[in-house]
Amino acid sequence: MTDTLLELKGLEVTFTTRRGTLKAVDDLSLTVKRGEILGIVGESGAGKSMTGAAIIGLIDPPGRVSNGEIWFEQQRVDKNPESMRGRQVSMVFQDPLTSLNPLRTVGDQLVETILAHMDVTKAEALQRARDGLTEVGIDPDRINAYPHAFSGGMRQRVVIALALATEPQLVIADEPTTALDVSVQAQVLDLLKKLCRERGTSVILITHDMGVIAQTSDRIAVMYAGRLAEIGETREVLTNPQHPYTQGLMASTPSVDAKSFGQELFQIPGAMPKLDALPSGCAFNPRCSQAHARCQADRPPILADRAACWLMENAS
Amino acid sequence: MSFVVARDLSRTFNLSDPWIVRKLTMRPKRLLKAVDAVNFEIERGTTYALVGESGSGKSTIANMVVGLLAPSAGSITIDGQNLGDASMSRQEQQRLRRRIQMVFQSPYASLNPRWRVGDILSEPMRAFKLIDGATAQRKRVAQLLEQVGLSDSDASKFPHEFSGGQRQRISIARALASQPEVIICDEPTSALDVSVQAQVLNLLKSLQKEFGLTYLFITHDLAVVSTMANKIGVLNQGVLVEEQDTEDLFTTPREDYTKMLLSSAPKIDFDS
Repeated sequence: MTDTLLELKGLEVTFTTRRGTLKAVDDLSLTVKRGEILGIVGESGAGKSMTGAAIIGLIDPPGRVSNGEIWFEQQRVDKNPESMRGRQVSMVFQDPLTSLNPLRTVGDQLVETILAHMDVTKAEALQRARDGLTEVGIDPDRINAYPHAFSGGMRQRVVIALALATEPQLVIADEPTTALDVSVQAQVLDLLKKLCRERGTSVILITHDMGVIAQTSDRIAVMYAGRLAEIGETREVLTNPQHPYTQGLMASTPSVDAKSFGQELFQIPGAMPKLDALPSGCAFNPRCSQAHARCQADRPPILADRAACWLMENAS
Repeated sequence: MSFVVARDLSRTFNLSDPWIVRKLTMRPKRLLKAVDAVNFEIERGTTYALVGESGSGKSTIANMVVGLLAPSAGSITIDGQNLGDASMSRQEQQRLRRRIQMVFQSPYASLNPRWRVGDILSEPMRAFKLIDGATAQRKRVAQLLEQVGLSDSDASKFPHEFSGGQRQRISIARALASQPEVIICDEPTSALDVSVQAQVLNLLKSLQKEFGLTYLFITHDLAVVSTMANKIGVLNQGVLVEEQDTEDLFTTPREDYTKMLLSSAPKIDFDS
């Protein structure tokens, strides 16, 4: 048994459209270790949700995994994601309002999930469902309540209980707290982190919020226009970002302990390029303040040292 | 006297069952006090932020200030004129309303998907009879688009052709179209990415400088208002629990509730 739980090798997700083939994820390679929390950050359209969906095999046509390999537990799974979906890898979606069935009680939904993936009797499944609710801080006597009877934060707790009910080895959390208040967000993140640490479950946390990542994850992968821009230990990446895009993201995040109230926030000029109009060379070069001729001509190598950026080469 | 004044502002919602059900079940009326005797003042050209969790009544206050909801008790005064003054004629009321505009939370839901951007932006001009003639309106639309960082060729496009950040710019342009003095921003960036959020916040700030706008900023995220607001009021369950200048609130919060909100904001800080 090795340390690596999940490995992506040159993953590519493409969409065939009338305007040609678009690469939503482009040559992405990364690993997730056992018990590790990996954060994936980026703006809308960076391909972070597509990466999560590709791992669990939930990309709908016309999109497809067109290239690359996904290895889970030393097994290649990109051809048959059903083998591990739900049982070994589960998912927490962004909006707890739409990821629960409003017509069935939360207990029903928990029991259904457990029975579908585990070899247990109905009574055992019910007991597990009650235990699951207790673990996420919900009174197990509310097992027969419907989703509408819970608040947003409570509903997201139910979704976390659902995700952990089958004792998976990897949980993919796609923007789990974006729909929640700041104070509830902190509770939900703490809960997710605590439960996964206790069980040694790995987590891929997908978000656009640097603050959420900083509080939760061990390592960070920064994505831009479908490509990996920077990857490294959380502390390293956040205190000493190498890629100009990461630096820009950090500077534009408002903070409660800002030394300069009333100052303008730093803003990255321009917007994320559309996938059918990617600039040549480095995808970030039109918005980069430090871009030079080479950035427009050649694509930076996948991770020179830590950041995929030509500046890294000049520095060394 | 301050430009915007809210005095003992309250709003109660009636959640009771229908009358006949109440009589049969012998249950009393159920009332929800969403906003309870809130007082605040906003100086001209400054930003006042109302911060609180879901259900704290902040959006109810926003709706009352902009005139979408009538207060149950208390009053709102803008530039000395009482918003709920029954003796005002319809015309006077409309003239007052023109000076207060709103930017809504979701730029996906607040723009009519079947209207072109040019129509969306010229509707306030027609409604308030500010600018007559199609050519003059088109000119003003182009000017508005430029002010929010879009180009005049965008006027013929539909909202779905824009990204979230660009749509929020269109919402801001629509609010500016009637040349308002007060703009109420109800969570204007909570549906946006951080980098886009920074762009929209900076835009709002530069517009404030240019036109001397007064903002009432509604949010649940204290970090967002740290750069925007001059004064912050913290709401909890319809009651204004604390009000301080921005810097003082962040450095010396008085109430436990404010401290809780501050501590739950995500921090990128490894020293502690």
